[in-house]
This record gives sequence, structure tokens and C-alpha cells, in this order.
Amino acid sequence: MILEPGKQTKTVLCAMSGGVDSSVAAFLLKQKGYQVIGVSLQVWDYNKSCSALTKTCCSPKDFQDARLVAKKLEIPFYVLDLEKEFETSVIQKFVNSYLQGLTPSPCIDCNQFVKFGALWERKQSLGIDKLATGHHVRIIDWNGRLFLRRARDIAKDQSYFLYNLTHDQLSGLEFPIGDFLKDEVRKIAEEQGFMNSRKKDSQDLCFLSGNLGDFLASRTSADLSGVLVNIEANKSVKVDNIFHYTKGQRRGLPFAGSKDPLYVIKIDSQNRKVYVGKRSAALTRSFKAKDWIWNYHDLAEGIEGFVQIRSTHRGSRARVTAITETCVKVDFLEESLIVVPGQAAVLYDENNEVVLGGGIITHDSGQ
Amino acid sequence: MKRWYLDANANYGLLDSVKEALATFQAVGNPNSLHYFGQNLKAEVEETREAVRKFIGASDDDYVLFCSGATEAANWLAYCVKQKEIKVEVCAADHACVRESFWGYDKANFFVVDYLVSDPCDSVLDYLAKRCFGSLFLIHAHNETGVIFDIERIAKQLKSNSEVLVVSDFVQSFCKVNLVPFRESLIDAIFISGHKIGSLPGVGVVVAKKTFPISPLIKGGSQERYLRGGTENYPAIFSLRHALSFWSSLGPEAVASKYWQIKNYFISELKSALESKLVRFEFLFEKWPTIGNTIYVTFPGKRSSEFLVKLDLFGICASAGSACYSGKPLSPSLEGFGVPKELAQGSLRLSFRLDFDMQDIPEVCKIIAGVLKD
Repeated sequence: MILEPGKQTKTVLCAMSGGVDSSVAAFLLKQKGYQVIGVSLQVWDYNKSCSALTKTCCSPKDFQDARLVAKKLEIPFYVLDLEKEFETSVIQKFVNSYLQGLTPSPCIDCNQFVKFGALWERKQSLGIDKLATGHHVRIIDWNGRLFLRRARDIAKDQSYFLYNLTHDQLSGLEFPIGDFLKDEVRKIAEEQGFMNSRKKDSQDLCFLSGNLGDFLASRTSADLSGVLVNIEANKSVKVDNIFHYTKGQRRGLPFAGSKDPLYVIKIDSQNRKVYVGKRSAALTRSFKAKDWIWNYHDLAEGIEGFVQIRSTHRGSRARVTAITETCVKVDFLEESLIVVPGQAAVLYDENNEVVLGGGIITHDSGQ
Repeated sequence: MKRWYLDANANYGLLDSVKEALATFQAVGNPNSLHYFGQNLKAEVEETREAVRKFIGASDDDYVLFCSGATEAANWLAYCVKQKEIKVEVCAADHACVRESFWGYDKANFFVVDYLVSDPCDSVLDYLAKRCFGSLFLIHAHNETGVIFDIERIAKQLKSNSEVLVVSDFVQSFCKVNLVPFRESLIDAIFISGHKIGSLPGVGVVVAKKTFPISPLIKGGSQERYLRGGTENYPAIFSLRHALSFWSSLGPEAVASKYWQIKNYFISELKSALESKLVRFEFLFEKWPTIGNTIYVTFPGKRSSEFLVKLDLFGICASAGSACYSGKPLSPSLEGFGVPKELAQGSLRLSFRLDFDMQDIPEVCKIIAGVLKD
């Protein structure tokens, strides 16, 4: 039996999405001598509510891929039903955030509350030594303390999504592919004969099959219609659903003939107004972030480093100053950026490598 | 690694004698072709039909019809009742294949059985006494809890007052308990499934009185007297006959007695192991008549979706209930017994084969108690 009392081999619960990264992660763990237990998370009932069977990381097709890799690796494999946890801590929060005029990052919540929340608890209750995922990220030991470090493949780095992992969690985690380039991962998968070696990466909003505005409309009885206000030309246009627009959006705006390109610069969900203007109007030099977590107590007064403000941004030089224990002010030192309230701001060290803290961007520009 | 199979209600597993017989099976031709090979296969199908008829005690006039399994059989019988627009009472504790066959049928009512009543028949009859309906669908031996409904007594009482069609799922009781011969039974239609008794999966049988308003659900051929189109699954049908030979050679009394010997020992060992580890548990249906191959126990405050994984990692292959709902937090079938959610979500079903090694029971119970203690 795998969980034999007194057994010497270390056990690891490997979250397998059916994608190439977590498949190779499971393989590498096995190579390392771990007793690997594969697990896929059912977080959304795609059979009932969604026809998109391939774009996600947890559809029936993905479970099938994960199961076949597990079979090939001769490891036990389970599908865990975490639909309830996903609904409460990811979907409901996602919808509420939008209705409050924020642009949330459900992937961060899914990591925090589902993968490293509910699944972490399962790992604990099963008495399994470690939890592993196929995230492109590394863990480093810095003077006896563990920190999250960007992946070797910087283009695939996912440390931004995991900034709020605690030290205790880091000590029980394995990210086996953090030291590999994506091409190397695919090569290993190919060598091992995994059928998903050429599978596309999963996308961010895994539960969305249509567009965001329609999804939100299906989840609330609130009136989502509103007005698009062009502050440059002093024009307004009525729209059915203000959530068809996101801050920073440039394409698909119904204002032709403008000299400069126009952007969505602000969403006022309370008054159901979406403001459109020149890019300069959307730029910010500073902002406040809440729910801030410092990964090292000595840093709590403030520090200069790099701050990343969305998943595709790679970090800009900034100073982070503590206002309260969980609230900070971020000042960019070299440039102004479009910051989107609701997204995470993650602080990296002076080499833009190691995660030192992070929190959620607020509407408050800090000025 | 040593593993114990305790999920025989999901699939009994191929019997050795069936495996041996299959090794010699000549699967050439189509049973509906007139040539030599077709005739041979047709003979296999008909021989199995007569073996089922004999085993179940059906008369020559009764329908004995092959289909793909219990799910199709349930859908088929539900279809027949719906075709005649008969008002139906469906037990909410029945398997999903029965309940969901009636979804959207406005003449269906799903009644809950009160598990706190001292006798399940009384619970059902008390409820039905106040109802007006033309057909009843009620499971015989419940697949998740092992509860046995005295379907003959219920049918007798119902039919003393009015004309009621009684249909019953015999999947778990078939071969495991002593049944009233079908020709003497007051039940109008039953269905069984091959893989629950050790045949290949993919074969089920509908047995119905000649008066039952049977009509084809799957059309498209003369097979099964034009009542079920499609080539018969002859390897599975052949294997079913050999599985029946196994069970009939033992006889239902000996089978039931052996099962109860295992179950009684299992329960007493399990209770003492759980008590010694101070694990909270409840045998909710202990006072009710149950089948000898199924043990149902619940652990208040625990979640089966969690402890089943751990049990599996310790080599205990069990389930919370129907495999059709495995992985889901709550079985709708248990809700049909009115079992509160907090009890239902900690369910453990241990269902075993007749050849389960009794010597292993103390070790298995010790592991279960150890896992549930945490």
C-alpha cells in the first residue's frame, strides 16, 4: 500500500491538469524517487454548462489526458470534486469584484483558495508529505527562509499568480519544472510518449466559454446597461452591458474619427459609466494596494524593487512604502503605467527575480 | 501491494468459470444471419434466454428480453409506462437510471422513504395509501445501503385495492437472495444486469409479464421479437449464462448464508476497531432488512470524497455509493431515504464478493479505523 505506516519513500500529491507541464512535473517527481499520487481538480461542471472542452485546464478531455499520463507513469490518479470551493472562493468573488468596478484575477484566487487552499488541506489530511504542481516557478532558500523565484523560462514565469504562498506552504511544495524551459518540458513529454506533448497552454479565464459581459449578466439580476463617455470629444453612447469593456481596452470602442487612439481609462460601475480617453489619461505614476502580504518581516517599512501589475507585465522599477500593516503605496520610479484596480501588484527584489510581497491594486491613486 | 476489493456492487468482476468459458467462445457471425455461424450464435442467445427464464422462475409466456444493461432496461420500462401515460410513483432512493428516466414526465412523483421508520415496507405503504397512481417503480435491494424492500408484500397490498403496475430493479438482489419465482410473483416487470453477477458488462435483461405494456424503445430490427433493435451483445449474453451456472450450482440459500456469515463478522470487527480508535460512526439502516453483501456505515463530520482516496492509498477499494455518482459530494439516492446531508456525506459502502477472504477482515477493519481516526 502507498501510505504504509513507517514507509521511507516520500509521498507527493501532484496536481495534474492534463497539460504538458504538470504531466512532466509528475514524471520528474517520480524520477526523483517520490511516491507520486496524481490528482485532477473538478472545479466546474463543463458537462452541464459549457461547450468549450479543450481551452481549459479542467475539462473532461483534460481529465482524460491526465489519467492517461498517470497510467503511463503507473501512479494512482484521482479526480477531486472542488466545485463548491471554486464557486464560493473564485466565481462569486470574481462576479462581485466586477460589480464593484474591479478587474479581478481569478487565477490568483484559484491558486490561493483551491490549489493551495482546499487541495493543500487534502494533502495535509491524507498525510502526504508534499504537494506539487506544474507551475513555472522556483523556490529558493535565502538565509534560511524560503522565497518564490521567477522561472528559468521567463516568458512562462507564473510567480505573479502565486505571490501569496506562505513560508509554511513553500516548505511543503515542489515545482519540478521551474528550472526547465518550455521547449525542454515538451521534449521530455515527447521522449516519454505523453500524448499531450504538443498541447496548447491553458488560458486564464478557464470557466468562460463566451464573453465576460454575458457571463456576468447570467450571474446577476443587476442592470448592467450604461453609458460610454468619450471625454476627449464630449460624446456619450448607450451600451447594453458596461462589462463588455475593460480598463486599458483599445479595440471595439464605438468612437470613430479620433486623432489619437482611444482607450478605456476608467470604469465607474456604481454609476454605470465607462470613460474613454487618450492613453495619457489612464496612466498612473503611483497607486495604493490593499491586502498586502510581506514575505519577510524586515521589509515591512518599504523597499525599492520591481513591481509587476498584471500577468503579462514583466515588472517596473518602483518604491513600495508601507502605510499600514496590509496597505502600501507604490511609486513607479521610471515610468507611468495603466494600472487596473482589482489586479494584483507583486513586488520583486532589485534583480526582479524573487517575490517579496504583493497585494491588490485599489482605485486610490495614492496622490 | 495488497489490495482488497470492496466494491462488488459496482462490478462483481468476471468469474473464473466465465473467463474459462469465454476462452473457448466462437464469436464468428451474427446471430441474426441464417448460415451456420449465425445459427450457432442465435442458439447461444436463446440458450441463455432459457437459462435466465429458468433461474428466475418465469413462465414461457413471460418476456425475457436482452438489452445493454440496467440503465437501458430502466429507461425502456419507464418509456413503456410513459407511452401509456400512466401516473407513476418513483422511489427517490432508486438508482439514477430509474429516477432520471422520468425527468420531465409530468405524471411522475418522486417519493422519499423515511429511514427512521422501523420497517421500510410500512414507510412505503403508509405513503402510497394516500396516493392515486397507476404504476410504482421501487428498487428491491438498494444498491447503496443494502436495504431490502419486501416488494412482494407491497405489490400484494397495492393490487388488493386497484390495478397497479409494479416495476422493480433487481440488479443487486438477483442471485444474492432467494426470490419468489417470477411466475408466482405479483411484480409486473424486473430488470437485472450481467456484470453485477460476474459476467461481461454490456448485458442486461428485462423480465416482464405478458400483460405488461411493452413497446420498443430502441427500434431498427427484428431482434428480441422486434422489441429491441440492434445486434445482441452475444459474447456478454454467453458469459451471462455461465455466470448463472455458477450461482445456480451454489443455490440461493447457500449464497445468502455465506454472505451473511461474512457480513456479520465484518460488522462486529468493524465496530470494535472503530470503537477502539474512538471513531464516531452510525449504521443507519441496522434495524431494517438488508442484503448480505452490502455494509453501509456513515461517519458524521467526515467526507467520503476525502477518506475514500486515503482508503484507496491504503489498499482498500471501496465506495460511498453508486459508481454513477462517485466523486460527487452527495448521493441523490441517499437523499431519497431522507438521510440528512451531514450524515450522507460521510457514507462508506463496503460490498464484497462471495469469495472475500474472511481472514483478512480484522486487518481491513483496522486500516479503516486508522484512516477514519485522523
